[in-house]
Amino acid sequence: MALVQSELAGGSTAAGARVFLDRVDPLQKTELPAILIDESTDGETIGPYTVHGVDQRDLGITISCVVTYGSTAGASARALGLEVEKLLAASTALAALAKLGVQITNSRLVISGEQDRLMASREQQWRLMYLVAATAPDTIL
Amino acid sequence: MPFVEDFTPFLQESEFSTTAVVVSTGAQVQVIFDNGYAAALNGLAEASDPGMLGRTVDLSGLVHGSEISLPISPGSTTMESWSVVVIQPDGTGMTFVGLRKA
Repeated sequence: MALVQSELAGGSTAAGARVFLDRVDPLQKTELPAILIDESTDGETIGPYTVHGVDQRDLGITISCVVTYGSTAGASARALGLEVEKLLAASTALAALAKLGVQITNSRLVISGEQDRLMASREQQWRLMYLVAATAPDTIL
Repeated sequence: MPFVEDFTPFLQESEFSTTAVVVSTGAQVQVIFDNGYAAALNGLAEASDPGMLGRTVDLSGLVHGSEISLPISPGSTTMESWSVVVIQPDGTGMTFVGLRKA
C-alpha cells in the first residue's frame, strides 16, 4: 500500500502530494483534491499456492479520488480516477511486487449535493495479488 | 377554529434573523440563516450545510435554482450568492430552504 501511495504521489496527478494512506480525519477544503488509500472492507484473502509452502495473497484496497468543490465535481472526480488507473496499470514497480496481478475490480462515483458545494469522489476497488513464503509472510517472492 | 400565529416576532434582525434578497424579484425577506458543519462523502471530507428558515408566505415563490443573496457574515453589507436546492415547508407556516453556493 505504501508503494501505491508513492507511485500516486510521484505521478503528477491533480492531487499532487496529497495522497494519504490510512487517513482517519476528514479532508479539509484546503486539502482538495486528494487521494485516499485504505484497505478495502473485505481485506486480504490468503490461500495455498501450487508450490508447497507458498501462499497467494490478494490484498484489496480502496482508492478514493476526492475533488474540490464545484459544479463540475463529478467530471473532475472521473478525471482524477482515470489518472490513478493509468498510473497504477503502468507501474513497473507495483507489477514487480504484485507478480500475480494488479487489477481494478470496481469503480463508482460518489456525489454529494447536500452541502455548501457539490462534492464528488471516484471510489475504486483494486486487488493486488502476490506470493509469499508461508513462513515469512512479510517477504514478497 | 384554526390557530394562526404571527411568525414575524421570530424573525427580528435585532435577534437571530438576517435580510435575504430574492434576486429574481428583488424582494427582501427576513430569514434565519445557518451554515453549520456537515460531513460530506460519507465522512471523507469536511463541508457545511447551509440553509435558511423563513415564513412560508415570504418564500413561496422560490423554486430549485432560485438565486438568493445573503450577507457574507452577520451584520456585513457584503453579499454572496446562493442557489436554492431544497424547499421544505413544515406545514405550520414556516419553510426551510436548503442552499448551495451559486
